[in-house]
Amino acid sequence: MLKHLRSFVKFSQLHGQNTSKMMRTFSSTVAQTDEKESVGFVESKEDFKWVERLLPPSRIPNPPKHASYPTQSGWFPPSETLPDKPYYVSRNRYHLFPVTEIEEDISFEPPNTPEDEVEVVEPQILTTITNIEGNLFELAADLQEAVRPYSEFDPVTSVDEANCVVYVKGKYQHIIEDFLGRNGF
Amino acid sequence: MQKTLVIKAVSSRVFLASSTNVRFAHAEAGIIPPNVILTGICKEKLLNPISPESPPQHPDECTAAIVRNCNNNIQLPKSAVKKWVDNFSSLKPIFDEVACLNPRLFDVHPKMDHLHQVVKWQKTYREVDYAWTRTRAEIGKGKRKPWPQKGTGRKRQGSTNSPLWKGGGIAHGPRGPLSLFYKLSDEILLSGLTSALTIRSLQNDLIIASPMECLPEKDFFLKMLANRGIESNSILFIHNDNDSPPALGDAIEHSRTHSMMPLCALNVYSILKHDKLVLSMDILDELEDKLIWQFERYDWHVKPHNFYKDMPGHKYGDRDSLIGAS
Repeated sequence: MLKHLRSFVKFSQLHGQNTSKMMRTFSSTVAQTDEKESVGFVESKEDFKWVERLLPPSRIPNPPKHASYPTQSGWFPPSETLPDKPYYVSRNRYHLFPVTEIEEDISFEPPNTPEDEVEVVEPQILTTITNIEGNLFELAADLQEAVRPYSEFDPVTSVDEANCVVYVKGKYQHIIEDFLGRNGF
Repeated sequence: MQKTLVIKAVSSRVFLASSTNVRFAHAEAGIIPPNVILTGICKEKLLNPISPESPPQHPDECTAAIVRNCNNNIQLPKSAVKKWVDNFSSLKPIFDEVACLNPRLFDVHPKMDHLHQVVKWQKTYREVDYAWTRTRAEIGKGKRKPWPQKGTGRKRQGSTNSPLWKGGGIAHGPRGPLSLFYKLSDEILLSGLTSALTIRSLQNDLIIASPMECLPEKDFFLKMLANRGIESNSILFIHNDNDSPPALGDAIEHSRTHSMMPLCALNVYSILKHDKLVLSMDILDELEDKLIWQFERYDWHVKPHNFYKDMPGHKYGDRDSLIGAS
């Protein structure tokens, strides 16, 4: 009997007929419902607000106004008046000082040189300052004097005018950040 | 015998009395030699030239009404860039209103190397090199050894298709379509755009027009330009994405040196190609929001996706405004 049922279902499915109707005739326990009355649904976008509040923001917010500065992490905002210097160093998009320590690899060998002939050149350890406007050379001179008490040797600075970047030889990120903070940048 | 030069503008060509053609040359009234007789349109143009009206003061120094303020915060040390707002519906310019522009877009230290890189990219990223040469296998000539290995006094040769032979294959030639597509980083594209905009604004080549629509009368457009002194300049007009000014479009349609495009088509190559840049007032907000957002957004971790809120010009779930859609 089951075998007949299965083949009957397959036949009706092949011809696209509603099998449930066919099956109903063989069982007496299935409730009879009208097929023309569809269930229907309503589309609503009200609950999307629960998703929207979880979506991340794309834009970095401005920091709120605190009661006192510096904050617990040591952050303070730039001063609202222009500092009395011939240059200006603005904050980066994260509201931090634009000072980074880099190791610049200045060695160059053509590929496939044997190890004996490779010149061992140590990478340059530099501190870079970006987002500068105005007289870069004055800033470099001021940074030299700020760094002098902490360095073994005479401090060395380098200026890249086309890209508005100042390099200081050595790792002096915290010292330079203090210097910029003291001057209200 | 002194030759008299009769200048008669007939479709802007000049005829000498001795029947040789000379191109019409713009000459100021003081430079025209005495043996020249002017007739026709040239007489009007040369003897009654339209002198352009210049603004009475720099907008920074006067107290004109500020019609448009910057939407985003302006950081120290810069202040807003102020420009006179022009009205293209009036023949003569009226210097009444001033618009403020964001200095992060219009007052930037211009980087010429980035400008060059962006222009070069715009020219080459769409190019496909279709050069293709046949190798020795693809040349459909003889497969046979031309002469035996030994015995003849000639060099040993295996086939007539080899690259050594005339008419043979090319060993290391170009092979098929090669695309020159490459991507430039957002940083460089942004600095290129802002550099181009600042160069136009600093060199007095930027005009902000409040209604950018001109009247459809005959010759209104040319007279309007002449009154502003930009008759002989190539001009780029930028309008809103949805509305384009119809009368201005009709006036520009057959002009080689004037072009009009919506804000979404603004690019460095077009800005540099035209002498002057005209921005209509209603696009300034959108331009500022979109570019300042790029300066103030978080870094993409891997690549941009669409699950952010508050992105200008892009809406979550909107298929047409997907970023980086593959």
